[in-house]
Amino acid sequence: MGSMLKQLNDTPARRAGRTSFALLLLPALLAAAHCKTYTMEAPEDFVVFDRADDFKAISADGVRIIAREIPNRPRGDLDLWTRAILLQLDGQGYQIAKNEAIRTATGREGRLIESTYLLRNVKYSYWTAIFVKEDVILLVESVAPAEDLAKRESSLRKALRDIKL
Amino acid sequence: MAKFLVVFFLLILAAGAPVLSPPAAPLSAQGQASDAATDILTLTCVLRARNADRAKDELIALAEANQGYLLKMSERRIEVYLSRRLTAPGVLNRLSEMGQLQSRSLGKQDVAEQLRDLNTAIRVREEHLAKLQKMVEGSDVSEALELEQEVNRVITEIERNRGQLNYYRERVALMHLSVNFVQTAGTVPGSGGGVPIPWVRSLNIEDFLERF
Repeated sequence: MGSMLKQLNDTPARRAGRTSFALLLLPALLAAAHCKTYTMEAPEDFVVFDRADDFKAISADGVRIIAREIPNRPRGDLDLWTRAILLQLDGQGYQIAKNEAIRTATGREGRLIESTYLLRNVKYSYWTAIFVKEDVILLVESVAPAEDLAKRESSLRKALRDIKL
Repeated sequence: MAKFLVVFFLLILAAGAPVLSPPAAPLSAQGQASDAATDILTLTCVLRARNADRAKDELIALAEANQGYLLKMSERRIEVYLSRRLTAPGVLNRLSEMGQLQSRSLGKQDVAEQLRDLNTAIRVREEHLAKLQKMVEGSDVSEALELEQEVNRVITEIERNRGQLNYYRERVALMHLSVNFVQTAGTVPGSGGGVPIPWVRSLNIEDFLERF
């Protein structure tokens, strides 16, 4: 009896209304689910923390990677954000070792800034890669004592090249 | 009885030596203190450092390069001993390169009297010890045993005085620097500190490790 009443009330107009409502809700649901707009594979010999919101990976010798998306607000281009990062690192006393253009396999342009920093008498390497895609910024950071990170350089670079954004 | 009187007399001499001794010669003449410095220097500062960890690393390196060493370190404070070859104004200049010096104070404690007294006490006790040792040589076994106890006591006293003297000498030879750090609150426009955007500000190793 109940199902018959339901069918009688289910007019085309009501169905259209429900569909529109669902479409309106979709972006909000996607945002709530924190869908990543990129894919990144862990470099060789790294494990990924699969329950983390951001991409986080670590190697057996403690080289760490975090990738995170940030809204590009206020909106800036790759050049502007690169300069902001350089200024920030320099202001904190980081030594900029390299600042170079990088490109993913899919052709997305980015910058890789390699810096070093003496923390409690240990020389650390701090890599910051940035990609800008319209209203999203993708930041990939990696930290480890300089000699450990140097051993992983090629696999880290490969992981950056293989990012899909 | 005679032996007892001898030991008693020697004890009185040992205990009263610093008081009964003639005025001590100047420290420089005794060759005990370097460059006649007899004051303990303590420099205390509050530093608004651009990067406290880096400032700490620099201070440790500065101390180690100048016969000094790290005494204590915590998140907001560091204490180091620095060679007196570095002057207080010189150290303050170095600190001002690391950030904004908010306050500074320089304390001096003259320990000339303590150094003089300790040197005198050691000298007198050493003389007393030499006499005791001579007495031990010329005594029979039972006398020697009693004198040996006195010899040991005097030696202990001398070592204690030498320890105190070394402590004061080290304190005089090094400057005690204590730096308290305060956080940099935001960035003054045009100071070259970068843009005040949270994700840009978060780009550093400490924040990274916290986020990880």
